[in-house]
Order: sequence, then C-alpha cells, then structure tokens
Amino acid sequence: MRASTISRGLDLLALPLIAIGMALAFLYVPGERTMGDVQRIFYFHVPFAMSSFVGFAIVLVASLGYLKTRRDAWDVVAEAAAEVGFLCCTIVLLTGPVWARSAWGVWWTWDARLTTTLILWMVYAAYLVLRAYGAEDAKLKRYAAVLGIVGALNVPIVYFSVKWFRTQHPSSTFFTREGLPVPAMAFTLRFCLIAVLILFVTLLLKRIQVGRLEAERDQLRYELDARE
Amino acid sequence: MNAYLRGVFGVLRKDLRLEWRSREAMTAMAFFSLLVVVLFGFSFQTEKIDVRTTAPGLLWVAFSFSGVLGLNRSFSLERENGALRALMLAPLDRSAIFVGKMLSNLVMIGLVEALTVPLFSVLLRVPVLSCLPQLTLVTCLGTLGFAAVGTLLAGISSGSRMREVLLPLILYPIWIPILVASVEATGTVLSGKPLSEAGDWLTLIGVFDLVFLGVGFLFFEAVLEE
Repeated sequence: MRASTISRGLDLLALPLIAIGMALAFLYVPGERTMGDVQRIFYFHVPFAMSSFVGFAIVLVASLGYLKTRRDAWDVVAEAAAEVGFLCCTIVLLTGPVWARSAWGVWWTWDARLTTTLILWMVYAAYLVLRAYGAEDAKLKRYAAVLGIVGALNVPIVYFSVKWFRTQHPSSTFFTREGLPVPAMAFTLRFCLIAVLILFVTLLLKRIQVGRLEAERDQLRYELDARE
Repeated sequence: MNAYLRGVFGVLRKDLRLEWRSREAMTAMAFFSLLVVVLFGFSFQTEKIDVRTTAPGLLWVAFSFSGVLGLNRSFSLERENGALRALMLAPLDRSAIFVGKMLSNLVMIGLVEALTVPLFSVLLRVPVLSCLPQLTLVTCLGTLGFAAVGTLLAGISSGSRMREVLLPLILYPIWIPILVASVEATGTVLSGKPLSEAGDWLTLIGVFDLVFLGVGFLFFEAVLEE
C-alpha cells in the first residue's frame, strides 16, 4: 500500500474514531464510583500522555538518525514529532488539573507523575524555542538533534527514578489498567488509546508533509537567491 | 591515551589561565551568587520562617544561576578572534575539548560554591561546619552533572542566534532532576543525618552524571562542527 493511501486512510479514520471514543467515554461506560463523571476525562487524559511519550521517543530516534546520516528527512520527522508531542503533552497538563481539582480538591500537586510530565513539557518547550529562535539553518538541525537526544534520554530516567525514589501521592494510579473494576472501562480505555494514537499519527504525518514542503520552499528560495 | 589527556589538560589550563588573568567571570559569578542569597534572604523574611526547609533549595538556586554565567562565559571567550576555529583546528579530539571545558567549568563553579557556602551559612544562620565533608560530596556530585550537561548545552547556545539567553531556557528543564535530588540530599546532610540516608538521591545524581558525561562526550563533536 502506498504511503499516501495509508495517510489518507488514517485521515478518514481519525475523527470518526475519536467521536466514537467520546461517545463510549461519556455515554457507554459506567461512571466511577467515588469520583463521578469527571473521571471520564481519564479515557482521553491517559491516551494523550501515551502519545506524548511516543512523540518524544520518535524525536530521540529521528535526532539520532539525523546525526548519523545528516539527511534532512530525519530532521523533518524530529521537528514534527516534537510539535505534535508537545501538543499532546499540553492536553495532558490541561485535562489533568481539571480532573485533579474535582477529584482531589487541588489543581496541582508535586506528585511523581505530574512533576515528570511537567518536566517533559518544559523540555519539549525548550526544544521548540531552540527550533524557533535558535540558529541559522545548517547549525540549527545539528543543535536541535543534540538537544532532542539529551532531552529524550533525560525523561525515562526521571520517569523511572521518581517511581522508585519518591513517595507517590496516594490517588495516582492513572496508568494502571489492572485497576479498572469493570470490563467496559478497560474496553473504553483501549479503544480511546487506539483512537488517540491514530489521531497522533495522522497529525504527525500531516506535519511531516508540511515540513517537507517548507524544506522544498527554502531550497527553492535559496536557488533563486543564488541566481540573482 | 597520553595525547588525549594532554589535550584535555591543555584546554583546561588555557581556560583557567585566561580566567585567572582577568578574573572577570569569577568575580561576576561570586557576586551574583551572593546577591541571590541576599535577595532570597530578604524575600523570604528569614527571621520568621524556618530556614532549614528552604536553605538547601536556596543554595542550589544560587549555584544554578551563577553557574549559568560561568558556562556562558566559557564559550563566549571562544568567539573572539576566531578562537573557536583555532581550537577546532588543533590536533585534539573534539571530546577532549568537551572534557577540558567541563573541567574548567567545574573548577570555576566549584570555587564560587566554596565562596558562597560560608556566606550562606552566616547570613542565613545555617550551620555547615559539622557536616562539611558530606556537604562537599553532595555539592561535587551535583555540580558535576551541571557542568557536564551545561557545557554541552552552552556549546549549543553560544552558537545560536539568541546567544547567552538561550542557555537557561534549554538547560534548566533538563537540570531539574539533578537539582531536586541535590536539594534533597543537601537537606538531609544539613540536618545532621548520615549520608546513607540520602543514598537514593545520591544514586540518582550519580546516574545522571554518568549519562550526561556520556552524552556530552559523544555529541559535543556534533555541536562544534563548522
């Protein structure tokens, strides 16, 4: 199957899947006993968190790929993954506090998961700042690749070490699917996970396409300038 | 191996000698560090609150801020007279330049820290003499990580359009985990507890130090290319 066909297929799938996911989350699945309806945010909050991790993993691989091969295709992928991952991470940090405020009474706490996610968000932001204001073209890609690697390596260490060393806030069992009491909940979560991941890939592919077009435009501009 | 180490120490000696001749950066860093301590002292009205809970954090914030000055300086002095290109033309492994610069940053930040701690102790009335060896160890470990990742990222920021301004933006998010661990370990040490109680945090700092040294060693070359 050609890449553009896959891309098209995903485009058509993404929104309907999300819509079904929302229907499942808000209409089908039973409410959670103690937290009530606000808990339904969970069915999107968790998938977006997963997506942002995937995004950063792609940034790591693409950055390494760029440094190894110096081919711009890798750089385009890294930038796209960082942007879409940053978007997902922002959504996580917006939906989380909404849920927290209702469930725990506070908008924020310096719990292991929250702190890690905030750090992840800031590292992404720093990467995007570098991309936006950093340097002229040739250097920028190298710098961004190095920063992408440093940042990405940082995150799993933080994630695991904070799990080991810091006492966890009692209610923070967001990522444990085993803790779901009802099969419908597990199903809804899995469905939404797939839906959000497909959305992530769709956005990523679009952004890569835009990136390629930008690179082409820059190349044309460069050639035009050279002719004058 | 010998030539490699000669390269490292060559870069180290060069940076330290340059700094010693003018003492600009050291003075600025030391004074800035003191200012941060005093500012915090005023802001948090130390007479009224228990300084022990905030003291470790304050100390490390002072180190972080003045450290960035030093890191920026170590690369800004290479921009004059094409010094950076000369350095890259020298028969040195690029990673040797990284190690040399990291060590020189470590020495400079270490000196500033050595000056800051007594002042911090006096101004905020936090006793440090009884736990000085442990405090030194914790500080050394934390600062090593700072110097390692800081030198790599300072290389990036000095070559960027934003210059020095970029360094805090890209360094601080990545520095946070070591910062947290260092503050926790310092807090444990300052309250007179034995080092073993901070073992987990120290392990964390150690792991980060190794990772950042490794990454800097491998990727500094990519930062320095023409």
